[in-house]
Amino acid sequence: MRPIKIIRRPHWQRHIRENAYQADVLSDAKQKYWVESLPQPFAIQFDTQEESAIADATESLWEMCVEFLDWFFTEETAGDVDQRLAQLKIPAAYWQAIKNSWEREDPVEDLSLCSRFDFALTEAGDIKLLEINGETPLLGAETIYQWNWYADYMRNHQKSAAPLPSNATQFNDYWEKVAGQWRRINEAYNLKKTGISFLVDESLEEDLEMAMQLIQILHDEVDESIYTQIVYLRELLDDQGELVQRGLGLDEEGYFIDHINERIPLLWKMYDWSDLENDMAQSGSTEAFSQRLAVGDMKVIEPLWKQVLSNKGAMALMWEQFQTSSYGQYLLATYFETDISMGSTELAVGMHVRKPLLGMEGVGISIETGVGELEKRDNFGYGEEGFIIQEYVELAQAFGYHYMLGSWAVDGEAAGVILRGDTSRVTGRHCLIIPHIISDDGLYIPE
Amino acid sequence: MRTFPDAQNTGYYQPRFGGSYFHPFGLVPSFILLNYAGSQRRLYQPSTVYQSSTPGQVVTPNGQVISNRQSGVVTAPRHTAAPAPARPKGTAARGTIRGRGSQGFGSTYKSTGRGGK
Repeated sequence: MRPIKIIRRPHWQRHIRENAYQADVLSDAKQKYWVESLPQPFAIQFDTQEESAIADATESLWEMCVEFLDWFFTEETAGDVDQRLAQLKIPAAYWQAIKNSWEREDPVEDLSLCSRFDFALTEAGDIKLLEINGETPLLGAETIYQWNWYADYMRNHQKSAAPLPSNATQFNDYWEKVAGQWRRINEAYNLKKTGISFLVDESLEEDLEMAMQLIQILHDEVDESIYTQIVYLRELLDDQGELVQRGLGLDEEGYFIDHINERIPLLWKMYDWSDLENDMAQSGSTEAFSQRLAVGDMKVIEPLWKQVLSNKGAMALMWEQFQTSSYGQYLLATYFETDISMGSTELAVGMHVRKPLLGMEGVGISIETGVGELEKRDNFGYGEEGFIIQEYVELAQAFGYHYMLGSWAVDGEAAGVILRGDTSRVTGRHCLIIPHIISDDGLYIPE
Repeated sequence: MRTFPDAQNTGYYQPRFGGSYFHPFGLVPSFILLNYAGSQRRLYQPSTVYQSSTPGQVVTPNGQVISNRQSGVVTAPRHTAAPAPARPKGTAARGTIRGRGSQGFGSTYKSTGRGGK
């Protein structure tokens, strides 16, 4: 693994605008979201052994997640499962629905589209799981654009001052694997009959871009006659403040309702289950909603069982379960902050990372030294639900950026990677997307 | 309908570009009047547009350039860029619909900040 200098392609912003979703932010030089906006653009080169190791870690960790969920939902003594759900601060009204979501097989199981593991790659060559983006894994559009960058670079810029190795490839099967999973979902859920609604927050451009990327894959690769629609979380207003489209609703029987007051049989969402549950508590609809979810005739991607995986408390339970197993090599020591065990205490007095159980994009995360904070991100109100503490691991660095690797898992298989850098040790919203290549060239000293 | 020119290189993934625009002004306003909740509202018809060969400019399927009333990048939603497949027969909501408005969906969401991605 090493950083390599690349050129800033002439007309790079135009290429992004013509070949990417998330085009506005990727092509905006001021935001420094895409690497070509830097004075010295760079990419990360992995060798083929490292590529295999990342793929192995991803597939192994997905197996671990499945084993973990089987354990999590197994009642060895009465009350086990409820106690675990309570530990993750999941509201009791949803316990039955969430158990059903994992156990359901008839007429069809509750299917997932994809997940993204965030890994720290250490200088020593270790791969360590930082967290699981189980519910709302963004970066799909960026993953695909980096392929378009690679294809354009290999085709048009190999005579530049910084050509890529002639045998360079990229670990990027995101499109194909997601298409494959859309096919399975189509077969199981009969999308021609149900259509699919994509729920986005109207104030977050990235939600819509991610939805559009997935719709394109669905239409291009599966069936362009599948009905899709965008549903907004609250409501969509035009620039005069006039209502363009009503937002998501819930009817008395607990079905999601779209803007024309029809039930939504299948919803893809970029909004956490915990937020949906809090919203429904606010509107007095918890009972109808939780009972409908327990029945399971309204399908949601990602499914309710993913709420367990995306909760950072799951990382503490995974450490407890698997630290001595073969999965342990990929795990960091993690405990609930309320844990007073020997291991937890040892970690708390040394350098560690403190993370809220919920939250994303680095919010509320701090690096602690045992005697105070080293770095801290705004919490934006996250953290009331509790914290975990996790062993600190130094992220790899290049050109002043600490970078982490997002590794996609689709149907249990590794589906490619996307790298993000940050000048802070905690990767946040204002991060840098760094493309990668795979090649063994230049990485070995000839004998 | 293809949403990118045939001559364009399709050697790698191509997003459907363009989007939609609302055209409330001009000689032929593109809205219909709709009675909604006791008052009359204008329902604007979205029209499909494509990226022009001039960066930042969009054109209608007939090649007419659409002028941008605001400065900056065109950020029209792209979900109407292709003709929509037929909507399957649906099931109407039953009873009172909740979840909309200040007590509903999106009401307890905690932002993770603005800007960036």
